[in-house]
Amino acid sequence: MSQMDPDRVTLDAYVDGELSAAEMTRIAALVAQRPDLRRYVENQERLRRTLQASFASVMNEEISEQLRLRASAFPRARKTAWRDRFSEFFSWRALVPAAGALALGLFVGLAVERFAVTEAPLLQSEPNGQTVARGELARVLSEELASMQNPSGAVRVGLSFRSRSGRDCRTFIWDGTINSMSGIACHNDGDWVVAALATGASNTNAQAQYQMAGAAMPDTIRNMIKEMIAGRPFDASTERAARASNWSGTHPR
Amino acid sequence: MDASEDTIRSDIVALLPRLRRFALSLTGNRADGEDLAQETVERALRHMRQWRPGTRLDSWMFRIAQNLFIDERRSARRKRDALAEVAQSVTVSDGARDAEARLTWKETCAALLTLPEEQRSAVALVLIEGMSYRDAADVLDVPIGTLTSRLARGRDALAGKIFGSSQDSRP
Repeated sequence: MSQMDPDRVTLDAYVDGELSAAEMTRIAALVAQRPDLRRYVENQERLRRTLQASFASVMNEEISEQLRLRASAFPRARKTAWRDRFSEFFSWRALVPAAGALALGLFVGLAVERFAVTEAPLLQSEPNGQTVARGELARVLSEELASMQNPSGAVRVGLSFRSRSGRDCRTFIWDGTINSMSGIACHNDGDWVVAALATGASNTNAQAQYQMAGAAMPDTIRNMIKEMIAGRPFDASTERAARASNWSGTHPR
Repeated sequence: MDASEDTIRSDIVALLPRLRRFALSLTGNRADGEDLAQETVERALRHMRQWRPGTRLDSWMFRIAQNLFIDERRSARRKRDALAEVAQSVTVSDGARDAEARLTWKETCAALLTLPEEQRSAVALVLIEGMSYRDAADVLDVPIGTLTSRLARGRDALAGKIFGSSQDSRP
């Protein structure tokens, strides 16, 4: 192998047309001179052609009536995410302080007990009295972006915002088989500490889930957000920046 | 229905053949591919507000399809392992190992189904759908380096399956 030898990644990128014009030219010249490189490139081009050609008949088939109808006639949801609903809510009304403090300790304790029995452990009580997210809930809170998450996921995030105490916080909803819950969790020292939680009966069929997604945030949670939030909820790019900073509360809003 | 919704709907209709192909390459069989495509369209229309104008509609739709597929697989709602079934019943014939192999989509799916899901989706997006690395990485929500390494492994495995291992000569 000479110094000029392109590595595998570069060669694949050449085949896929992903290099700069200068690099494409350089690799093309090398490929022209070197039978081993040429064989590799030809095989890869053949692989792509073969794969694409095999689906040609599928591409030319009529689209089924059901699929076409789904696209042309399926009713559009007017209000789908809490995010949309809440943004609207937010712009209309002045922030008013929540009427009275919530008995959060009792509230969370009750919910943890209920969920621990019937569902996967998504919440855990710590010795210091805090409740932290675990399992899928913790993963979704850390990794998912509201705009890109799986809309059918059991755990979904809603709004993200900076709290007055400088934490990055997110609302979430979880649809279980028996219960559902929604709440707020704030990132603190690597954990998502649950600040508020509300529970309800689960809606398992798709239509009910859809309705619920629109009206999912109970008033207790809304009021809690109004108490906690500093500024406005994050938009999509701020949410992304917050994730990139590991929800450390340090990125600019 | 407002004008922009009309536009998105007609863009989605135009995307249906590609969406169906992508769904087929993920699921490996027609019935599940059709179901996945239908579910994807439903989700997309329900969550139309989450699509940001100016970004690629196809990437967004493929991401929904990919997530639905992974979700279905993860939750094991489909007990029958259709993928393994197809992979066993359809093997690439010797005739396919000609200089210019001609495969049916079933043979391609059989070969694709032998790959881990993450390699399969990388191959489907870049080699079959013709997406750029950047767009494919966005669909899968992974860094480009992750995409290219999955793609490289998928390529090796597929070339071995389709052309025979002797043709899988790396430089």
